[in-house]
Amino acid sequence: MSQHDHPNSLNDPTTEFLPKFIRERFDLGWIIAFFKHKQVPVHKHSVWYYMGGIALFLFIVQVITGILLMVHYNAGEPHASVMAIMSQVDFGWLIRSTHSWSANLMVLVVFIHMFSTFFMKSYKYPREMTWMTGFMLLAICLGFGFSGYLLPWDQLAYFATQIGIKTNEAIPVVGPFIADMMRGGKELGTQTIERFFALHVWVLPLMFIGILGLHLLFIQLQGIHAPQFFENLPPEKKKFMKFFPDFAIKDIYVWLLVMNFLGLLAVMFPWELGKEADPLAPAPIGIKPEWYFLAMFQVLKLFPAHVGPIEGELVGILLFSVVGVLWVAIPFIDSPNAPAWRSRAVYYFGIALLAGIIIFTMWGHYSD
Amino acid sequence: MLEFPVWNVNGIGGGWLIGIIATLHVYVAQFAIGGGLYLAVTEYIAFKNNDQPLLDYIRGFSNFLMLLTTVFGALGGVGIWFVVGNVNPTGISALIHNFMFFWAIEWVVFLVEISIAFFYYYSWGKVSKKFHLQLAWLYYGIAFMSLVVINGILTFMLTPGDWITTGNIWDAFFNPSYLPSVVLRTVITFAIAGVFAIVTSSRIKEEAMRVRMLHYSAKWLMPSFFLLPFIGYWFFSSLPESVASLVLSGIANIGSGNLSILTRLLLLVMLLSVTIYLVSLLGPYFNPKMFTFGFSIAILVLGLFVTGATESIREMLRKPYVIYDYLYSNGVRKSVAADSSNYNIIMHNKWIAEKTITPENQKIVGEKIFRVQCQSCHTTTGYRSMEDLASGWERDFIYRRLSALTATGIMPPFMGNDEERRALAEYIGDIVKAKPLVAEIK
Repeated sequence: MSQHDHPNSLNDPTTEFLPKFIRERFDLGWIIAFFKHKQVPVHKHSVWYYMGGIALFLFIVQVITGILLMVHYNAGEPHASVMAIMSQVDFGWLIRSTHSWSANLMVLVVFIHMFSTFFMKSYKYPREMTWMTGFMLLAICLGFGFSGYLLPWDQLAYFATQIGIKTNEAIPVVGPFIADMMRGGKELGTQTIERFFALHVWVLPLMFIGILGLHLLFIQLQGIHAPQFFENLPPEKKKFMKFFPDFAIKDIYVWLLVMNFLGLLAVMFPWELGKEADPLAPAPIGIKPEWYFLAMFQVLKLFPAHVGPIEGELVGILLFSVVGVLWVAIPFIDSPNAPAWRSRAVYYFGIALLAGIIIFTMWGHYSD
Repeated sequence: MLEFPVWNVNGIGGGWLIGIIATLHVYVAQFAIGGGLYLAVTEYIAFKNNDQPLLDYIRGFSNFLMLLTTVFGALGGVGIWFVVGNVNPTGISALIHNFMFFWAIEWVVFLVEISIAFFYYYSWGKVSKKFHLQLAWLYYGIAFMSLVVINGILTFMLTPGDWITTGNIWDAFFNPSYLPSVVLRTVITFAIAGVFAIVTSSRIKEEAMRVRMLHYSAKWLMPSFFLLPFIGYWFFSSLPESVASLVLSGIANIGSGNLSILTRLLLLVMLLSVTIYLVSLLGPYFNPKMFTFGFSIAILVLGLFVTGATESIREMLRKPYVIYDYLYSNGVRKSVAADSSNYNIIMHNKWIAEKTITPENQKIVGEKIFRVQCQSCHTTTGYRSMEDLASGWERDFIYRRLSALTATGIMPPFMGNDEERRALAEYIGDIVKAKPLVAEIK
């Protein structure tokens, strides 16, 4: 058998830019052909196509900075080790600040990505699975935020997490069990940090990478969705851009710009570290969760202690659950065979949800 | 500080107001210079190759340059004079008195510059090609002269050099950082010309021409990419030792996170500049076909941020002076400040009506002292506010702190006697809602 009998890319001109070492060992032409064949619709809303890429970039930043932070973070001495990262480890302040800012930006971008997908109706048949995996990724993102927020073990983190866990406790039957499992007992302490740490650096990333893989795979298999007005255009008026290299290069520009913005935030507004958590101290006045939980927090505050025989908090949680289930099920509610009124109702539901999130977040931010 | 009334710019503060207008003005003014060279060189290439599409492009570019620089640039310049004159009248007065003839030259140069800009644009196709090209070079020469002149005044504020002892105007003008700064700014003008040209090129409708001009314009950023680190080092070497150590200690502390705003700005300049070059390389240079107007605007905005950050660094390097080693940022001359604790501010300042301090007028006098001495850099509740900076301080501590302001390394001394210092401490104490002075409790 000659040296090059196995499938390789040596005679494939499309792979010429790759080193010979790779080309003689692997048959890569089909991958290049796939990406070259893949097209991105060009229209007035094309800008929203960048959001997924930005979220991916921010996730990569999270992974890199997260690994670097993990080198010095000590779950046994959380606050002291974060303090050391900030003041003794060279460029530790920058890494932590970048990690915190990119985490917040990532949540924001994932929300924007989700709503842009919603309003372009990209969730519709046959992309239901992409929509659902996307929602799961958002949920995991929020999980990252919740678990990561506690890790520095400062005063605000401690009390905000306590409130968050107590809210979960209101869920009937399983609530107390979930809360105890998260805390590792009845109180927040070392056990909680260790659990949150494991969740933050192992469980959630593994889940995230797995689901992200599926999410990206679905997009590759089904192609990029074009909105209805684009589909209705006559073929000669439809403009497309090659995914590779054209869109990919543009993605890199956008990533560079996002990196700049992130750098600007991390350098000019470094993430601060509060005083070490003191469980015996009174909770700081007007304590609030992170901005991405503020809308839910504010809604919960509006409920009275009891609605009839049911606890107010529980009614709130039920409401969130119903909204969440409806949101995930949107591709099935607004299915291809659905009557027009149902499609319209879904659209208004999305607007109401977006407006609600914005209004309640702002209300939560400005209220005492 | 003594001769002029004060302008109360609460919120963003006078410094930021100057900074915003100056950054916009400097960006456009540097484009007026670099853009001049871009016009001349590009027209020369078009002329030499008899390249009509290139001539058409450069004609459009000259229209853009003329409108932007003569309207926006001129308005910005007047804006700077208005704001600086109000925020720091003593500083601007010192500059006017010292550089009277240089200012006169600068204004004449500016007048000639805009006249040629108009003549250049309106003479397209009406004069010979050769004469038109000569006009382009003349425009660039005159525009460059404006940089040559203003640079002497700007660098004087940072490195007055021998002027401090000799009082000789030529020592002031050709000061230690003059030459590196001229070279530095000249190279930057090429890059800014490239950035603006990328914006105009991205608007060209015909694809082949758009691709060609984007690629060509991106090349204008390259000299600065390779030269700036070396010229920057040269400029840095010309700074006084105390200023250089301020930068070096900031850099030394980057790792540990002990960052001054100066170091933060330096980091930001590096990050933004590298991005501008990377995007220009990956986009207009290597892949001009895919480069759109939106991305060019992003580069333009990043360039504006770099300009703002570098100009802020230049301003901050002088701290606590507005003219290094001569005039403090609040308008107090260093020579007058030598005996600061025996100075009687309310007697010397004609805009403070109260000439004695009583328990009844103490806080009013304190507020007026704040306006006269602190307000050029601080606000009560806005930018660099006392509310934040003195938060949690006791009145006694504020009172003692006022006698050791120079220890910060970035503040002038408090000018005033003990009674006046106490009045100011009372006023600041009220801003931060501090407890009464211990002396009063007793």
